[in-house]
Amino acid sequence: MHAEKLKGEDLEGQVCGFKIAEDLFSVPVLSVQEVIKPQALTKVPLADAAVMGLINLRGQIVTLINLRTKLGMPDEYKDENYMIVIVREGDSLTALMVDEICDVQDISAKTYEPPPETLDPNFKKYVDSVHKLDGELLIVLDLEKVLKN
Amino acid sequence: MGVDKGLALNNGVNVSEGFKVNEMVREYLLEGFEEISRITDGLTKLEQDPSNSEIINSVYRSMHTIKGASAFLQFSEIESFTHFVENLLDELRNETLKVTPDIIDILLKAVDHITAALNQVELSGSDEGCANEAFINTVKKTLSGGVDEASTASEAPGPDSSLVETSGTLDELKAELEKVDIQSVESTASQDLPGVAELNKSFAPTVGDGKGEVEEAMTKHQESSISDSVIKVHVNLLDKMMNVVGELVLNRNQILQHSSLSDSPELVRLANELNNITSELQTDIMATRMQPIGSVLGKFERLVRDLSRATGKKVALKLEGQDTELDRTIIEAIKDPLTHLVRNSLDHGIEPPEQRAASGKDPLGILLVKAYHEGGQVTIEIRDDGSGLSSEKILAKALEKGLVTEEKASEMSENQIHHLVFTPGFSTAEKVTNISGRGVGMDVVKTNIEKIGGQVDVSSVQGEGTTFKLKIPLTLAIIPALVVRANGEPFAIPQINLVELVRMDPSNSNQIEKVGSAEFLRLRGKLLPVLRLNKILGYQESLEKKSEDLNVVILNAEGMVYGLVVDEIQDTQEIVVKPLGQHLKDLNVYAGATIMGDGDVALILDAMGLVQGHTKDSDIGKERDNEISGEASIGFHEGQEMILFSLNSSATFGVPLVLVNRLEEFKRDQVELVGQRPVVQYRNTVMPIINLNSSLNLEGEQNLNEAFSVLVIKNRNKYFGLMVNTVLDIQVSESSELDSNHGQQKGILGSAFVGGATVSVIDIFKVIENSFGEESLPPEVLCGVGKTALVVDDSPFFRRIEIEAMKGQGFHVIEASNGQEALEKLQSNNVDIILSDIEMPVMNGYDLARQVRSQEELQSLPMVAITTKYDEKSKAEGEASGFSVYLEKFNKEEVIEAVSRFISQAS
Repeated sequence: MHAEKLKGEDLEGQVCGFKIAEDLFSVPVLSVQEVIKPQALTKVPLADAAVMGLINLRGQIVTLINLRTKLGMPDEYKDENYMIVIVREGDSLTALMVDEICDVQDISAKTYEPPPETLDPNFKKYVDSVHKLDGELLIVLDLEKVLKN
Repeated sequence: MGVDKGLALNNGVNVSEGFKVNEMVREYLLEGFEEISRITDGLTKLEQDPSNSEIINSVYRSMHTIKGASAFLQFSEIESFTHFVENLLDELRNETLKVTPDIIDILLKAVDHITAALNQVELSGSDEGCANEAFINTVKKTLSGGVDEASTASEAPGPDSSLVETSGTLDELKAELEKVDIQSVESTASQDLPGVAELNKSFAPTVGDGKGEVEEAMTKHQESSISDSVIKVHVNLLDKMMNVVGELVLNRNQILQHSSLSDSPELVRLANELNNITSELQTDIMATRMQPIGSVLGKFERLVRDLSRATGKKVALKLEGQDTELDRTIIEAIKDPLTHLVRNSLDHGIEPPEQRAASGKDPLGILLVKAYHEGGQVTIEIRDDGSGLSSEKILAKALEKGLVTEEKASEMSENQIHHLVFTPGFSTAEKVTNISGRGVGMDVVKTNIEKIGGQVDVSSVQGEGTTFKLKIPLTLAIIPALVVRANGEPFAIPQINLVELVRMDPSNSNQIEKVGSAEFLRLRGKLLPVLRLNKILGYQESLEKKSEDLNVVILNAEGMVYGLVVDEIQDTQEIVVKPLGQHLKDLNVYAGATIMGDGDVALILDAMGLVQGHTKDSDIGKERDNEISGEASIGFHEGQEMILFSLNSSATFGVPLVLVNRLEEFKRDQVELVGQRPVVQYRNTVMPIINLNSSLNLEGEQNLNEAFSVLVIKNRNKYFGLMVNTVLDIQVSESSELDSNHGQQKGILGSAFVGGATVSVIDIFKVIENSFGEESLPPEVLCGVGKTALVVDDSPFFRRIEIEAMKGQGFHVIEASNGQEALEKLQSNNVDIILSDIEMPVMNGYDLARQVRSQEELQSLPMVAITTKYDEKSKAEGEASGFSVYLEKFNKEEVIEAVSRFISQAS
């Protein structure tokens, strides 16, 4: 199954949900390798503001991206009150910093909505689609764009 | 007959127990045993499928390989035997001999014999007695009976020759073969004992019945250590194991950390044990990838032999340090560059014997290839005692090929000249031979070695020889690195970039000198630019570090040497280089990242990237001396960098950096008076000092300090020193505007906005002229009166300087800031000469020249190119596009000389 390749309306299957600043985001479950607790972090001077640093994932060096910065949301992480989602895109691993991990959700064409036009364009460009769930909206991120420099 | 010979030889063999096969022989044996099993396999298949020519060919090739290798290592007896077998196979190939079970039998016997011979070589290092003529003769005899073609070729027919393929002959043959076989096997094991002959005889009768057991026993005994002790493993698997071990090491580190907190002594003990085992495993796994360099060097024996024969030179090759081990990927990578260097030394280095004798040398040239460990790297030297590099020839060639300019060439040191051989497009071979000089040359050697993180150096004494020195990292994946800290974070610097470490006592404060915000370090008479790691990385400079020692790491980035100030220098570590993710790829300050012993991630600094990253947006002071800046390594934006200084005025003054040759500091007592003029000794000449304050009529207190700063300007081939109060900074001017309304003050070109402040730009040529105009310069004939010059330059500074120069010659001047604008001006003005820059927006100088030349009436209009883009290639392009002359920016005298020459020619 190639759910991770599909986008927008064709995207069907399971996504891994996580919260950032009260909003529910998600990425396709098949692109998630694991979820880990905050690790020792090596800062990278001169790097893009969204790059929080490098972590050592069992011998592999993985870049930790702050999704809040990337999506233009206020950066509020104090100490280690965040979680790390390790995602795989192609051959490389990237670590995403999120507030908390939520359930795996089923999505389908039935729940699909295109990204609302009213979204801030700097935010919208990372959004693949929006899905109507019971009582809340789930934003599916376009991983390829998020991970692109 | 045959038997006697075999025995005689047996007795002659001196088998020593402690014989140790060397690396070459080891490889030969390994390969040999491999080929043997391939041949055996092939022969049995061939018996099932006698007409399959592919099998015959492959068996033939394998036999040929063994023969070739034997010949190479001078196992001549094995060679002659395999040669015979190869001939048999050839007959099968040509179908002059048919594949029959009997032939297969013979061949298999032959293979057994070769196996035994190889075993003997392994045990004794010698192939004495392996030619086995007895076997060969018997086979020949048999075949001459069976095959017509063979009989014509063979010598005197034996008594059996009349028999045509009777089972009798074959049986006889077989029996003979058994004997032969035993002998050869015996020869490996037997000593010089008196009983051997009897023993052999006693063996012989039993052969018929007990041969199977005997053979089996023999093989068990002989089948040998080498072929059994080695297996082939895919490198990928080793790589993977290496990664897994890497993870294991990290895991161990964590366990060790936890165990140290625990109060269970058993856990601590186990953790320590795990620690030891893991370390050992790590060492072993790394060792699996290491290979002795002898596998490459050994091949040079043949190469040197062949080449010296081909060139008629006498050369002895000496190899040293063949046991030196390197990662196999590196061995692969250096094979070709090394071969090229060896060829090169033979072809260009070592002279023909007559020439050597004539110059009083031993006609036999010595080529030494030596490998050894040095400072965490492997150094390989290729040294010949030939004619050495000829600086004149190299220079002549480099000039001819336009690799250097004449001016630059005159300033080059011997060593710099020698390094020209690594420049792309260079080859000193006067005629192209098939040995070297095929266009790809030393530059490829250099690139390939640098690609794997190595370095190439050359040193040569004319008449005495040349040494090429390669410094190679032990492995690609693991490099030694120095760990430093900045702002508390660890950073690794590859040792290959490391020159030395300097610790400076703060009390000795004048060791770091400032030119504006740029810093320099005076180290053993050389002035090195100094960068601060904290500053580059955007960290706050740790406050009040002044009381502590200053740690400076001297780095060499592709020939550019500079100092890097760090907070702390730690130890060196072997680090595993890991790539950075795509988010960080663009940061050229880092070469990668690594995981340290404690599991933390550390960034690896890129010595070259640090310089580039730094100069990109900031303010490194530029020493315009070739030795230090390496010129091209730092990007230069013409007309935009200004050196700022203060005079007796509240204003800041500036001069375009490109016009300043050097910054110097002189002491009061160095100044002498010649006539009424202050001068100093400078670079073997007398340099007049011009006091800018008095030139510009700025009144104020005399500078009474011990020392004073001087901008050294080269004009009309002479140095002039402009004395200033204090050099403030070197800055990039943000706007290209030059406001000339600011004041028609004498000697001031105008004002510019630099570094957030207004700066008065000094017309240094005017100042020099005013100071010396009448007395020391020849009276000039103004060539430009009544003529019009068009000055095209996008930089207002240079435009202004050029305009001033032309106005000084009496020209009426029209200006344009690019080619397009110049063309428009040409439409409406009558112009006598054009002075143009090359690099310009909208339309560059080349295009302008082409456009101008395309207009009939402008064919002969003099066009002078004045540019910083001054190299042979650009010059050629400039002349091709239609410039009358191509001049380097900016030598006023040269420009005026050219201009007046063209103007007088035209009139």
